[in-house]
Amino acid sequence: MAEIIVCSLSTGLSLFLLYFAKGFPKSIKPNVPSASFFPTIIGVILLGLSLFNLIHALIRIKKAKSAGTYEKQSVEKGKVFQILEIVLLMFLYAFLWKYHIGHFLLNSIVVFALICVLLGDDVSWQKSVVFSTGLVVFVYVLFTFLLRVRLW
Amino acid sequence: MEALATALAAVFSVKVLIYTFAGVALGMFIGAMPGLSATMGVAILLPLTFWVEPKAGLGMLFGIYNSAIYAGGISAILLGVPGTPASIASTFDGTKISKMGQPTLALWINTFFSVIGGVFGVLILSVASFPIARFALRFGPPEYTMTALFGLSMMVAVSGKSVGKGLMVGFLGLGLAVVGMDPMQGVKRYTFGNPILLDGFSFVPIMIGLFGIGESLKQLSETPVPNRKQRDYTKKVESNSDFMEEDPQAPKRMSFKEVWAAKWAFLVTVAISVIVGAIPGTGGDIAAIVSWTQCKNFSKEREQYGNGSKEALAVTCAANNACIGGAMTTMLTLGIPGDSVTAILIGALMMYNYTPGPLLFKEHPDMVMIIFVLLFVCNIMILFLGNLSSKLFAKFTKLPRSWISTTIIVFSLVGSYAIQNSTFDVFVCLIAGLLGFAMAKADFPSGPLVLALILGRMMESNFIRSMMLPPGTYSTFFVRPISLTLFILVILSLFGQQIMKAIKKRITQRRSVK
Repeated sequence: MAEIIVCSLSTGLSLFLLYFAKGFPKSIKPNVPSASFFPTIIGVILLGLSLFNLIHALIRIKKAKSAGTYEKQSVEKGKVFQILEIVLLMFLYAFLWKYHIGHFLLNSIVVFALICVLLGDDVSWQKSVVFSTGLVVFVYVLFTFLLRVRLW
Repeated sequence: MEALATALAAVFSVKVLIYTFAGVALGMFIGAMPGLSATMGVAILLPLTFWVEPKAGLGMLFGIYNSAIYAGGISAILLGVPGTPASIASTFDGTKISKMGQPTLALWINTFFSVIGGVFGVLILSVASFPIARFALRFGPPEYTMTALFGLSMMVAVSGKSVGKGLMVGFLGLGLAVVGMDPMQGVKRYTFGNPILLDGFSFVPIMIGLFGIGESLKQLSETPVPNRKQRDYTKKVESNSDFMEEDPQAPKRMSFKEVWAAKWAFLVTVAISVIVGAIPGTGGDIAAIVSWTQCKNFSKEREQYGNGSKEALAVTCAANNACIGGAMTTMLTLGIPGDSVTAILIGALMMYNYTPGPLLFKEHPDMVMIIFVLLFVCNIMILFLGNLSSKLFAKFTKLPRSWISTTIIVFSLVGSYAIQNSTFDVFVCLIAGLLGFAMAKADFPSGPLVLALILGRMMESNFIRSMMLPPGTYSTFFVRPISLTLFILVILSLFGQQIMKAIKKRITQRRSVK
């Protein structure tokens, strides 16, 4: 499944490259490739390779299905939800950061404590919260005061 | 000599030494933790080095690189789990020596031979790199185009089971590399009015995403699903009994006689590892396995190899760190990364306005000398810190996985932001992380993507410059001997195996007809 996703993404990117490359201006000098030359070449080869890998993956899956050796999911269902929760939290955090909603320290403590608790099958949630809070404060001090990076 | 003295003076300042030491200590932690790699460590800690002077920042990055490769052997020896892929071969004999009640001896071998291997690697680097760079100064745009193509093809050829997958990932990276201003005419490509994209994608957030977030998600997907209702926190996940018991009578280190007896194996290992390291796309894991196999063939104690041989462990430990010298040679002289870590180091050098390649040796020989001295100092620090605290770092393997993963995520996101103070880079990092996760699950190598992202621009601008040279056709690439040789090497590295198979098949068919 992951193979099909990656190949489809790659096919999409190649089509995107080819579609927009058409609009680039032509070269001003003869013999000098235009701005669209490289993207077009890359787009065409990438499209070919993506389709090749996609077809290859589909054929392999079909063969494995007919032989009864096909494993439908390489990631367990429960894990998929756990990963999804963490990914969503990371994107939520990035959105809050981009639109300056809340405060860096507060957002980071809440989001990373949640991520740590979600990941933390080996420690209690209280310990996870304490750890993530300490980590966020450490990172804040390190970047803001030692490295002089404005985090907000 | 004067340049060396200047470099020594530059490196032996308190700030540079503190940063280098911090890098070595962090690298040991990263290397000793199974699942964390030198690539991940260098990628996520790279943003920390942007805010200090280049020599201090590079000291930290080289410290992480060298000591993570070394420390991978600590968990390989004590737990039987390689800390980094480079130390896979150290489990062949290291774990067995530990099980024989000699873990301290095994750790000493790891430290001593890693350092000696690393030092020899640096010596070869410092001797070989200047002539190579002088030769590479003859390169013109066609040669640079072919060099970039060769680097990419080597990484594609050796980084995965399928050349098709590697090529696709490489072209995916090249596709991302064309975003931004066209190198010759300044045409804005795929920027959609976003000024941040005018210079193209910053490759640091992509690397952090691929190797930090992507790897964390991959590891999470591979651990069993928790039963949250039946958690038992009173039970420790790993107990100290995982570590091997020490026999009080066991020797703590090899005698001089034993070390001297291993000299030929060591020299062969260093030679093999530096060559393997110099080939783009290879790394410590391949160097160690090849060296172990070759030394086994001529060793007097070959039957002991794989059964707890001290010489065999010495060979694998020396190979990992000697390989760094080879990888750094290709990186510094030609600007082609030998592995994923050196790809990130090229990015770091570029951030400091030093472009790796022959011109670095011509324009900044002082910086080249500083790099050699820094690599040497890193190895000396590993010798001291490793002997004092190998076992302590091994105990970090008992930290909860959730804490390690959260730390990686925090540093990945905040580090991506810190490079340009841009939340756009945070999103780039996250998307690259998801892509890296999907690629890892689908068994696609990430190395060619990073390499293509770095080499893509170099390849395009040199390609266009080549086309501007007379006769202004593609024949430019085939009438110049170095360029033609490199082109043949590209074809051989990509399709060499298939060509050999086809030739063998034809020979067998002809024989059967006769």
